[in-house]
Amino acid sequence: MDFSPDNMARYLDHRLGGKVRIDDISRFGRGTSRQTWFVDAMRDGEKHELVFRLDLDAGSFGDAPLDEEYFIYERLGHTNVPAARALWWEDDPQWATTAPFYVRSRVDGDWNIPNFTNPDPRYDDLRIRISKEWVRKIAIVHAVDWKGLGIDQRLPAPKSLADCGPNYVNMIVAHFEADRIEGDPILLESAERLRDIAPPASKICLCKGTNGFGEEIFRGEEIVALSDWEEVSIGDPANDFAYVQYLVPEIRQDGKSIWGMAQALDYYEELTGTHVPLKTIDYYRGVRMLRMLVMMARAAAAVHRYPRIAEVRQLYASTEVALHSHNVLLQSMGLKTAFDPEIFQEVHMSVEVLS
Amino acid sequence: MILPTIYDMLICMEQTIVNTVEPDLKSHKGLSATATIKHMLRQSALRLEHEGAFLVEDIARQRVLIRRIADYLSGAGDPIGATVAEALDAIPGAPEGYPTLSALSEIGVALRNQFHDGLKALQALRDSRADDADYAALRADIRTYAEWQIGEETKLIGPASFGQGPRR
Repeated sequence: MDFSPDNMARYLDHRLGGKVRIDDISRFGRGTSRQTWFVDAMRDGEKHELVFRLDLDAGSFGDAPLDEEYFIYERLGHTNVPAARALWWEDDPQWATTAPFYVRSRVDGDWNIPNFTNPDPRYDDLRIRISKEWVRKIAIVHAVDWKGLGIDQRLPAPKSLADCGPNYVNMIVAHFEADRIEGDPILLESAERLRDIAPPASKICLCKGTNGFGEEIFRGEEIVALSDWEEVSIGDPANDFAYVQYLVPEIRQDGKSIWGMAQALDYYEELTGTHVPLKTIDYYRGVRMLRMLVMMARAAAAVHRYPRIAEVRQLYASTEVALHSHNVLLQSMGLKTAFDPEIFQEVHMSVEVLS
Repeated sequence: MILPTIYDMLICMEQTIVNTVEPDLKSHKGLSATATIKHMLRQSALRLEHEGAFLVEDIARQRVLIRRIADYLSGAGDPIGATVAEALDAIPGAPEGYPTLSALSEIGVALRNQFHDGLKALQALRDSRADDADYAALRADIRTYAEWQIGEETKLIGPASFGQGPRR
């Protein structure tokens, strides 16, 4: 897609009908797995705030296809989950010149909450309120009638509570095999182990997959849209607590834990009646490393196939992040590595955060 | 001999980014890209120096393991054993003379794909081979190889980035 104002005006004239004026086009700087573009347009005095989603030019990190993401947004439009509205899918080569894309409505709000990451204890209450807000919203996701909405026609559903872990691992391996350019015996060994040790789920539900500060849209202290559904699945609710990126902070006051994963799970149980054991969350953290490896393999494939149009972050991720994932998986299998897990924290360092 | 060496060139390029490019960059986007490029330049230097030796050793180790996997599968009556063995035989050896990294990588990747397919078939036999010491030994050797492989890859990638600042 050519995101120049002239082309965008022509496209929206065609798509929306009538004369469209483009007020602004910008690419969202956060979020690296796919391209996200914000487009503000006016048509007949009506403002249209649109979000365009498409794969990176050389191919995306996401191991699930873009049309699956669109499918989920469309299905979520029939639920009470706060999420942007899916508007249309575009695969006409006249407009989708590099790859298909979809368009959704933009939800007014911000991913950032001032002082949420400020370590000053004065903001502990804020952190807890936000954390509880996320638990309330993820509980809504987990209550979605995925079968009634036909989501299992697109995502593999586990056959039983015991099958949640293996089913999810199998889905990840299937994604790897679907776009494999190089085999990975460590991935197979890890997958086998993760199937073996999978704990039974407490229920089978729709899981968002990627959660955290930076993934959701807030207005004030309310989540008005849950974003980033690239890792959606049907399975164990514990999966959603395994990757929360600061949204369940461990907070201590006077040497006592006043908030953290244990309290968040208690709160979730209070809301839903579902008990999610901590050790099950550890299991899904391990599984996420497997998925990370698959995403990095996709990045490697993108760079290898199309080095001229790949992004340098794909190059980086496919080497160092993949290396970390391999090392963590080896360690979880009890194998020897000369790897210090603390170093893994470094991969999150960015010039933006440091400045 | 061409002086400066490729390593001199890579260091000079990295320092040009630090001393000339970055001071003029105002946006996080640009600084983020140069941060990543510096890590990649250092990694390039390490891999130019050591990846060839790693690949030669890796290819030799993979060939031995894949042959054992193929033989085991054939012995177990699994036709995938013959398929893997045939594919292994079809993968060319190292080219004559000093090989290029690309040629070695191509061989290494082709082997890794056969290794992967062979291991999948081997995993499928696990339940029926629970009491077979040869099966257990082969699986253990595959894991030992994995330890070695990632240990070597850590040497090729880690020092370029570990403790060397933001990645993006």
